[in-house]
Amino acid sequence: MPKDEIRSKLERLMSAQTEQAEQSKETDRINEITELGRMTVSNPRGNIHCLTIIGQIEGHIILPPQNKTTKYEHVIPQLVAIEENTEIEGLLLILNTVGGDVEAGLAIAEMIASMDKPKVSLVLGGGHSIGVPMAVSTDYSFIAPSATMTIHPIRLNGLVIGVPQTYEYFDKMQERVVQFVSKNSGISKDEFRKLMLKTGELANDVGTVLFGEDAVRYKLINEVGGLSDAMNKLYELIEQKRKSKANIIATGGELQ
Amino acid sequence: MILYSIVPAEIVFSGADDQPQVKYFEAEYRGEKIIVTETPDRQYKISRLLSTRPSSFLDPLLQPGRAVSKSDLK
Repeated sequence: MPKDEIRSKLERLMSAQTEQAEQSKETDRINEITELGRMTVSNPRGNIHCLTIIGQIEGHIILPPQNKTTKYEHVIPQLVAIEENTEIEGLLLILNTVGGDVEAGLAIAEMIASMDKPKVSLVLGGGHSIGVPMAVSTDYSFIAPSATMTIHPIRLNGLVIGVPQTYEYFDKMQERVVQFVSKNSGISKDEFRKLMLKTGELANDVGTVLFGEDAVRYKLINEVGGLSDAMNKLYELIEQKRKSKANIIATGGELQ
Repeated sequence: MILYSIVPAEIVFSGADDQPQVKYFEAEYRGEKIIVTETPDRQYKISRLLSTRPSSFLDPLLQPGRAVSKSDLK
């Protein structure tokens, strides 16, 4: 076989191999998006991580498969990894959730609220029930104009004993949500409680449905906006963080 | 467990009793302990990652729901 032919054959084989490798990388990326709705976006303005909270927040009980769920036992270590990874500079939280387990939802919300890295949330479609504390847990929050947030009392499920203590217990559980939301957003405890117990808004429950603009008017969410607004805000926060870090380094240098 | 959701609990938990029998077992995969789900048609999927290394939770190859082949499991 002439040398040229061998070389061209080899080249073809190698290019096919790299193509295959690239293809499998691409499928991995797509798999990651379809299975977990999670991906990393990087550009010179900052390396951000996007976490989507969808469907039910799954807590201590595995929900039947007709539910789309966000599993807290996986999200929590991911948040730890995002916080400690030096390459990731910001977190974009996208919410479209119908609520779920109180403990799991509050756990994720508390984790996000206590993160040091810049984080911005965007509510699309709906951020209902336990989705409310999660939406307000970030530094800055956005809501799409068409998105809604349902605020209602915690419901009783399972065996309920009709004694005053049951009411007190649920009041306490509810207070955790009320406290977290009022601490992390502009709404007062009393006002949030009022929205929770409002009548005449929902067909078969007490509570309130807030549209995008209403949520902003009640100071629950910072701004009405979409993806580009959320991204711009996140990059702005990243830029601020970079500058303050540079300042610390600069002043530290002067002291020495 | 307290469910705080706009979806009624009856709908969330419907069909919880008549689920296909899946088996869960622990195995080692890519140096990490995982819990694997085995479906009746012998498909294997990562169900949970048991690790204390945070960076592993961001590894695309160790995400729950990812299919794994039996031969890769230890």
